[in-house]
Amino acid sequence: MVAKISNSGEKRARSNVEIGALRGRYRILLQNPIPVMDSGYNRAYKVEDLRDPSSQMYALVSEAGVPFRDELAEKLTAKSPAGMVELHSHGVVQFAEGDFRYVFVFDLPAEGRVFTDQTGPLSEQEVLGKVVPRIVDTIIDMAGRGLSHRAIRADNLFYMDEGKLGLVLGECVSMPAGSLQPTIYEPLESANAHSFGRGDADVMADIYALGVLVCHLLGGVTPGEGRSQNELYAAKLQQGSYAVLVPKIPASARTGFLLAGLLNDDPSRRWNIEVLKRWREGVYERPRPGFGDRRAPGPLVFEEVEYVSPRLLALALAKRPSQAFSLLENGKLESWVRNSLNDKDAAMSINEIVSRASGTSRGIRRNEVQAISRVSAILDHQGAVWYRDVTFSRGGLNTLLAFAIKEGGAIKNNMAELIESNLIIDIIYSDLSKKRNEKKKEESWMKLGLATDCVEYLVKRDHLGYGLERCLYELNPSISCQSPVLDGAYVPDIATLLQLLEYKAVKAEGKINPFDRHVAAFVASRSKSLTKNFQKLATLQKDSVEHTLALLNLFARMQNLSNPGPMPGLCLWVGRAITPLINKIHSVLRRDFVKAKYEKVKDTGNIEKILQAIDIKNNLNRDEREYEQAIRAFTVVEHNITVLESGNEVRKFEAQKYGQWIASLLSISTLLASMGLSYLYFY
Amino acid sequence: MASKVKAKKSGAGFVPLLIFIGVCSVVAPPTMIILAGGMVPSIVATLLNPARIKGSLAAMAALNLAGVIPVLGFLWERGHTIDQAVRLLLDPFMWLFMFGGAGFAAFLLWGVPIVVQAFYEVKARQAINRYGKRRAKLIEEWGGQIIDDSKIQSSVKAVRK
Repeated sequence: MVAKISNSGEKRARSNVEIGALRGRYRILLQNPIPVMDSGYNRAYKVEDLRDPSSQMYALVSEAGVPFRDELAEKLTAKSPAGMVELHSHGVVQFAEGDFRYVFVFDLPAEGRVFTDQTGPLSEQEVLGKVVPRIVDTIIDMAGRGLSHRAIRADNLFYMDEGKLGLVLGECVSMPAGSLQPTIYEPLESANAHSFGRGDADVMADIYALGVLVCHLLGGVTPGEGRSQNELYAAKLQQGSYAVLVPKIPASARTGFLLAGLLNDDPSRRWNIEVLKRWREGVYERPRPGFGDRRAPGPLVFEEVEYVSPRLLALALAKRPSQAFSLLENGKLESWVRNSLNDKDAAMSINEIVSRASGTSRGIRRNEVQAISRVSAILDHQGAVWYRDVTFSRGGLNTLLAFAIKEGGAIKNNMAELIESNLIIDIIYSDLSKKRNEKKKEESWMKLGLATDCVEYLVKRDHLGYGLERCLYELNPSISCQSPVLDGAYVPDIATLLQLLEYKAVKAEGKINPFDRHVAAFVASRSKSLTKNFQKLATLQKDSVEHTLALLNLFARMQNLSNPGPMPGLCLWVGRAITPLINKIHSVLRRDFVKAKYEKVKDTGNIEKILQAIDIKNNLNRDEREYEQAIRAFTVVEHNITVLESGNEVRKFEAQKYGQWIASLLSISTLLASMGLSYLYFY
Repeated sequence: MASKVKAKKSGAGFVPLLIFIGVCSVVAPPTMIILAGGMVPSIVATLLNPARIKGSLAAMAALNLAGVIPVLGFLWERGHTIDQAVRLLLDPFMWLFMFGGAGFAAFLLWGVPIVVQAFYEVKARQAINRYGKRRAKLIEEWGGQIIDDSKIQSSVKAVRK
């Protein structure tokens, strides 16, 4: 782990040799924005290639908190498919002191987009002769490497040359997979998911998107325009995508066959790479178009509507959970699933869900919503998971969580509720048992181990290093730290984090809070060797001496693990953090001594040295013991002074007694002397 | 009950004295005359001393007797007769001897306690100064908080008791 952190630190150092330039070659010109090439949250800027000034390039500067597809970017940088705009490089660029951003550098498609809203429909010859082959080749190329593009859509096609002969697909790495796709471009597996929760999916999603793209280009308008996400999803389930999309466009039989193959809603019946390869070779097949979801022999009436499709019913239930729960409670749904769908396992699961939900206090809407969410996941296990406004497909939870934390509000709370209530684990279990029955080894909504960890993080959410923030960083290994103290800078690792915190601390003369919930969660997820420190922190009372010391020790350890260089700024913060502890020392001498020690070592910039030098815990313990003794001594002194000051009468009495005793002694002595002298005189 | 016992005890102390007076009055009347006249201050002091401080009576009696003894010496030297005793009692110098001793005793009983008390006061003042310095040093080392904390600790102890 130490080596890993050091390596990342070195990598960072190497990549930031020149301010504003990526790898010392691509200078990002922030003064020259190219709004037309913006991608989602990310802004586009002109790039100057320092080695080849004639090249036309642009850069997408990643917005803080928006996850990107780093693994795909790595593979595309190594070898870019011919039919895609070339990704030359990507990485962290330092634009100013403390301003780090993640940047992707692409070839700039000089001739603009192939299709815009003003372009109008393209001819079938153009689409089938120029666009489709190019994209099919790209899909085949990427599929061969196990990649999916997930951004195949009409406004992401560009001409690269002046003659407009060669077209390319635009970038697909700067935003989460499928997040910029219009809903209609998504297959049924992710059509009802939130745009950030669509997941990476596989090549079958690209093939489906190609089918929608053909409809889009031939029709000249976005298919399904004006219809909501749920309406489109319902329409596809009722009639099948082919029936929804194709009749509205002028298409020949050849195109119709192509679209029937591409737009089949069942991924196992959709054209695959092999069929596409044959299609490219001129072997045209005649597939049967899909017809939406399976249909039960008998309908189930819900809200005066008859449903024969379980997935459509799942959608309807999710829209009206309170009414749906009544349907669940009266057993009609279970009976329909058992008898009409002939799915005894699903019926048993529904029965269990009903008894669990009824066992808890009735009338609480949360229980009803969770029960409906579980039932929806059973009825529509191929579609997205639904819970209030949280909807995500397989592998889409991580990016949706990033969106939820970036945007905040209800979706963030619902996300936390989904994980904390064990709902996600129940849904994964239910899904895995179904997969076992179907003898498929597909990945579920997310890895079960990760889901279990996330539940634990949320249970401990009151402690630093846990909570929804921890889930975010565990589920998104490449996402930057979202702490507000970093002002949106891209921080991929602990070394950069410390470097930035040091810069901020120096700037603010130590008056910063470098350890908020985001920083804590980020550090906890990026360095497993610090797990014990976080566990210890969680057991200590906040604002206690032990808590502050554990926190400072954590920073000292982080500094040692990641960056052995001096950090005077953070040491100033350490000074501010330990000042209340030093002030707890009662002894003025000891306090001054410890302060002097801090002043002496703070310039070393090493937190561990400071902590060792001031040895605050030992000093506090000794001070406490000595203070107890001092109080006892003080009490005695006070008592003695009071007694002496008020003891005048006692002293007077004692003096009287003692004085008379002395007088009697003197008298007796005088008597003896008188007797002796008289004897001598008269005898 | 205790006062009766005390009274009995003090009464018992006078018995040898009365026997001595009785025997001496028979055996040596001139000596008894001198003693009766010379020891008047001690007798008065014994009767007037309400506190019955033993030291003060002893001092008074001892010094009074120290003044009477030379007069007895003169009596026995010049002739142990009642005339001689009366003659001596008519001599003011003899009275000066006898009452001078008693006066000196009174002076001692007044003066010595004052001197002792002055000594005690000086010592107490020194101790207060010493404790004051220690107090100031403790406050200097531990801050003013120690005053409040010591009060709290004292009150806690008082509550526990």
